[in-house]
Amino acid sequence: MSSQTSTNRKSDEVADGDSADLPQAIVHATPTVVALKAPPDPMRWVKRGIYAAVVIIGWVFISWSNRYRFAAPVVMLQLGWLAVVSAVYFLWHTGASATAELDGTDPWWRPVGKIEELEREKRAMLKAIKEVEFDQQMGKQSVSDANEIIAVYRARAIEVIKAIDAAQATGPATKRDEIEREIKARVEVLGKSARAVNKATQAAKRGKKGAAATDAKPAAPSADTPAADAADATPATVTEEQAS
Amino acid sequence: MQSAATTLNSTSSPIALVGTITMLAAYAVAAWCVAAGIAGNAKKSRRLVTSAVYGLYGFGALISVASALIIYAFVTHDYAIKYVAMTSDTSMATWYKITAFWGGLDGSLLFWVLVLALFSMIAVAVNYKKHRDMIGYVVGTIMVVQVFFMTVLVFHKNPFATFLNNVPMDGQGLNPLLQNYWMVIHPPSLYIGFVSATIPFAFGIGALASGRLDDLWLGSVRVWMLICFFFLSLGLILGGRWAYEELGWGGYWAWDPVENAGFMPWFCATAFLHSAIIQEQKGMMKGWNMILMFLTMFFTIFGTFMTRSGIVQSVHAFGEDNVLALQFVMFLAVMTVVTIGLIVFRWQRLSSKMQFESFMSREFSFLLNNWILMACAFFVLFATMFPTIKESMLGERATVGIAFFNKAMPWGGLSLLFLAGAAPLLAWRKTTMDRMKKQFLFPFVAQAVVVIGLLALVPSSRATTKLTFYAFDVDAPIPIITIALIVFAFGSIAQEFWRGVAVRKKQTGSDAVTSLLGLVLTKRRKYGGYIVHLGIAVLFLGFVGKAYDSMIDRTIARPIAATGQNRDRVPANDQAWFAFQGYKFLYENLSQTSDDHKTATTATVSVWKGGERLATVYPAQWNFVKGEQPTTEVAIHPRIGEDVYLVLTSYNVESGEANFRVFVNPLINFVWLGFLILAFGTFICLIPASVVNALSPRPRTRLGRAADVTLLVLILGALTAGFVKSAQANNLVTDAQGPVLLAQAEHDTGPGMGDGEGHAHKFRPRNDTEANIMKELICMCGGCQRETVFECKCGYAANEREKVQQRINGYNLTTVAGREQAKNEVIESFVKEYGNEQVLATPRNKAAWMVPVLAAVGGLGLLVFVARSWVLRGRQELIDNKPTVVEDESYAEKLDDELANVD
Repeated sequence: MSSQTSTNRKSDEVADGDSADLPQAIVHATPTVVALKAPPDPMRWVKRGIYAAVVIIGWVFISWSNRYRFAAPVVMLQLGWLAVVSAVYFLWHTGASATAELDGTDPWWRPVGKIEELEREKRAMLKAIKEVEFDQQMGKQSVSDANEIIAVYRARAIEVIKAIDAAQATGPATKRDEIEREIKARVEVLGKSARAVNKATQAAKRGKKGAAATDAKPAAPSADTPAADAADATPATVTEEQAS
Repeated sequence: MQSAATTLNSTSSPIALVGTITMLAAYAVAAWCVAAGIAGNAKKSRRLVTSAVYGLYGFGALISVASALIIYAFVTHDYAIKYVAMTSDTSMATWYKITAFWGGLDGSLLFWVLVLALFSMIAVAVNYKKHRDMIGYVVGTIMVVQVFFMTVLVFHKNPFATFLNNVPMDGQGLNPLLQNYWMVIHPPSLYIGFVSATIPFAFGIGALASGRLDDLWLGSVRVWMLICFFFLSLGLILGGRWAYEELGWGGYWAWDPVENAGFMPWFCATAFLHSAIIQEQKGMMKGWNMILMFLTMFFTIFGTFMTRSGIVQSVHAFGEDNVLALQFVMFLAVMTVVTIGLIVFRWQRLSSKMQFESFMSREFSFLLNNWILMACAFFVLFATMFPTIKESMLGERATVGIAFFNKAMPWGGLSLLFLAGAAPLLAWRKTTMDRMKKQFLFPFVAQAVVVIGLLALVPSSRATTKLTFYAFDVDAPIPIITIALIVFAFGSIAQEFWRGVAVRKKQTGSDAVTSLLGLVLTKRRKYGGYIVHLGIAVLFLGFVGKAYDSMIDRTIARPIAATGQNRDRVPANDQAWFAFQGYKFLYENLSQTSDDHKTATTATVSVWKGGERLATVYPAQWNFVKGEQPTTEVAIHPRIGEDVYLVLTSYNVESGEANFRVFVNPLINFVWLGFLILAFGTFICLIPASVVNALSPRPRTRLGRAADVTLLVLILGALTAGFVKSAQANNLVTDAQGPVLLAQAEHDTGPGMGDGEGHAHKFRPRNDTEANIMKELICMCGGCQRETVFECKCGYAANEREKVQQRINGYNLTTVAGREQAKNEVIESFVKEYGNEQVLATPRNKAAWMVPVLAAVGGLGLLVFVARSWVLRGRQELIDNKPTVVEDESYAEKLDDELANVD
């Protein structure tokens, strides 16, 4: 947001650079991840205090000028004043954000990623299996029908879990930036504590090591499973193409 | 109305000046948000998107300033502002001055913008990070809608427009019909329903534009669509309650265009809520869901267009405005082109492999539900627009009265009621015949027992109502069919809860109450949905009552107070009382009181049954100082099974003569109760998982659980009682003042206060044939909105009734053929007299019947044809994809572990 420091702006630029800049991005991975979770603005309470003070002073003035009679016009004026102060606050931020230097290289734009989508599909599969089990127990389906359907769902769920594992495991070297972006995006979105940030950093490091290993031994998932197909048809493929 | 620029040049009110400047600033901010949001998302510029988001917040704040200013102008009587002068006056209560903000066209548009601004602030704040890769488009779409409304406000309908000269000393006052406590909450709730359709639409456009078409957006959209569904339901039911209490015609739903405007998006939102489940469960119907989302939004804007452009006649439309109509048409066209363009652009990604395994599956029942709901929506649209369509094509206006809707809609309603009971009994994917028999057994048995019992013991249950198709009338036992379907739905849902609790008890080993709470809270959408179905069934029970309602008009020459007789018992002679439907009504007194605002003429009537005084009620007429027409203040004595509803149709203060119209409305309270159940079910669906998780681990004692359940029951009971009891609120005014004898009246009879005779009771039908004819003829006086001469209270309608009675003389009414001939020929004589069919409540035009029916049947045919190919494909897919490989043991274990954590 607009309160981002220049440090993280700089690191964002590095992190989201071309594949040609990849080594640099890896070098900067740790400070980037840490910097993305910028420390809270120490002045935030002062700013909030000023905002509250302006609102309250206005309210007191309105009340005083109306001899503290809280009739409908006074209430409307006070609500109006609150809206005026809020409008000034938001519009100031509108302008400030528009002129901030946050563009182009921001991990903000990274989609949540294929792991998130696979996780969602897995959750849907698990719920579907439970739903069929529940229907069967309720007497809506025979055991054989339910088992037949559950077997299909289980097979698909296992494929998805495998795909998730494959995606979480260190992939080819060219997937490093994707993993790094994924971590950054997650940390940014979740806004977790320093512990979460450290975990993410370690994961990035593991990704770096694992990537070197998998350069020699590619592709963990079997290429003939749909899940593996799904895993291949991801932004990672695009990155590989860009890199080549 | 003058534009904002004119106001700036000519204002004589500082409030108007500041308000107009604020609106212009908001307009500029909205335009910036559109540009920054869309360009920012397209260029992946975070700074622009962030700026657009803050801009949206800023816009909300600016519109709040403008709204506070206009309300300030109302409460400080700033009549230099035209809108304030036209919709309020000094004598109005402060509460109504505030609600006058949305009582007129200009203010209602500003109120729309305010509600959308506040809702979009919440929606964007909640989803900003979650949907960060499409939030720019979302903000852009919302603000495009805002820019449209701001364009209308700034250039055409500026609520801050001022008088150039001759500022009035006092305002004209709010329409008296709107000075009712239900109108304080009804419009906001309907607006919120309308406005909340914009949020899912914006997310849909965001998903289409950004290409993020996975199911992530669907979760957020579903919540907002549920909110939309809830507020539309609330708005519609409150509107119904307002009509019931304020319009004095004994009903709550008149298929008025304004009501229909809220009903069409309700159908679409309901269809979306069902088909979204198929997308979540099976990844299908993505494109269709996008279309439904668009249609919901389209109908909200179209409904607004219908009621504000004057293209349809309505009891509460805002009058004709061609410029506004053109602006709305242009916006609707742009919205349609952009949305369809995006859907076509993304069609490949939206189209998924459609496959079902059986027609006997829940997903197919959802498809049927979608078809029926959409057929209903398009029928209502077509019937509402039919007069306008006919006028534009043939130059001749038709009337589509309540009768037409009531004849055609039962098909859709009863089909939906059946599905509300049947769908929960079906399993996903397929239900075998054997299982289906077991599932349907209990509901069918319950249904059979109740129907046979009713037919045997309650003769009135054998009543029939007419089902009409074009020129064909069929007497069908609709009431008992409806009751049978209601019992079926009750049985089905009760069985679902019973068996669900049993399964849950087995799974968790807990007691029945814990299992029930656990079941409902862990499967909130499913069981919340069932509760909504239950509410719909209860609503239908209320609708059944319409088949049994009855009405009478009676004139009483003098109240008992004027005769000096004892009021504590019904006198032997019937000069001051009359009997109806087992009740006796004793006319006790007629009083007149006045204040700065109005003169109220109030009759005191006691309601007796079996020699016991049940209640004293006070039907009244209020003549507002600023109003042209007196308003009817009905008196309702609510009972568990029925409402006794009294209207003072006319009076003579001098002689004490009064005319009463009495309705006995059986089962009507189930309409309000049904809504409460529906609202409760929706609330359960909306409980976030985090709340359930937070509540789950808390240790509970039996006593604590019992306390929870008791509290819940008390809240529901209090709400129900409050809702039902509120019908009597009108009585309080006169109650507090106490009955005033004629001799103590403060004012004599004045202009517009009734001529002492009234017309409602004149030439009432003497037999069913006359009644049927009168119900088919619209009162053409010009003042009554689509009321038939049977129910209309004006003098013109009385003359028309007299004509019917004169023209029917000579016909042989002892045979069915004779009655049919009399009906057809008398109606035809009225058509000839007026030169067109505008006098008919049910259009006889073939197109009026055929177009919706052909569309609905064609839709069903298409659905069955397409679904058949999906089913065939699904069955083949099941054979082809049958897992033959043994599961990987480690992954199977992992899966089992994960399944153990899913409730």
